[in-house]
Amino acid sequence: MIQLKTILNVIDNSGAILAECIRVAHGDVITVVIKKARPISPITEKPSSGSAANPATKLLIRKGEVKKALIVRTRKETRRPDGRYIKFDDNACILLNNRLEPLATRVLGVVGNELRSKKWGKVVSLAPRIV
Amino acid sequence: MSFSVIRFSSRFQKFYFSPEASPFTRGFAFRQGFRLSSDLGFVTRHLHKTPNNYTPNIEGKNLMSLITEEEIKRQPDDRTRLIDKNNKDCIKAGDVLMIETYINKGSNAVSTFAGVCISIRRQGIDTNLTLRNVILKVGIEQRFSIYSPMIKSIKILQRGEGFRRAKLFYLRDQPGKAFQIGGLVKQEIIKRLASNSGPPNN
Repeated sequence: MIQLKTILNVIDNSGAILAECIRVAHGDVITVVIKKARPISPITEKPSSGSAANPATKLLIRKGEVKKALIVRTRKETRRPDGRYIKFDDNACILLNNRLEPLATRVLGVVGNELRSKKWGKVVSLAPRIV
Repeated sequence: MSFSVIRFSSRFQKFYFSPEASPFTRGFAFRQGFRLSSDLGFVTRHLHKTPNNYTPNIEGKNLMSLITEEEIKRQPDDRTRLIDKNNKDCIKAGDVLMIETYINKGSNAVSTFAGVCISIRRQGIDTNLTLRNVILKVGIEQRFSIYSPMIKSIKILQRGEGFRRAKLFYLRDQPGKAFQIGGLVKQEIIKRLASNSGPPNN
């Protein structure tokens, strides 16, 4: 039940922490504005211990940016084809680019198994746990 | 080839064909489940052999309760005992359960979910259990219909202690307290691997 003004957790390593839904598109993709992001300080950027080649560090997601996002968990229970219902304790998303590919390189939390059947295989393969 | 089908009761059908009926007609009748009875020319069949035409005897019974009863009887194992309040070993809110479900109807692949049972809804054939667990710091709840044919087994890993309510929804506000059950699940998986007859866990 993600709608206008819903605040979601961002569970990838893009640097964003909280995002607010500003538009619901068809399917699981929404448009969000970043409400809270990890601070981008030049000090942590320079050494950045081995993650210099990591494209995610070059992303520099800032508060106030508008991005596409994919919903991966919802508080509202969803029905699975086998009859079970599943719900999570939070609403969570990951950020996408304009071609609807994941922006970041990692997914850091549980994602719903529904994504697998919806051709988000790349996100599923990045996720540490699928429920 | 002249024949007619006469229905005269809910349980039986009679099939009439003339004495000079061709072997084809007789063969047709046989394939439909009709067998020769004592009176010549008539054959009867028991309708319960053909589930499509099955007419239940619902004298004095509510049709829906009858259907519920019959569907519950189809359970592969004795799941009614697990939720029967009169049974001492029945599932109670607070128990740690592990439920194995088939992923596909065709294959034997199984997925498991373990969690604290926070509610039991007794609704006849629609009886369901809600399991709650915390995985990677995120609370997850799943609701299973226990008479679903997709459920392979329901296992009690640990009895709940100190719970005095039938519904434990308040546990949603107590992260981490009751949900340290990873060890139990691991034990169960190890036990299963040791017995070597266990299905693949994923």
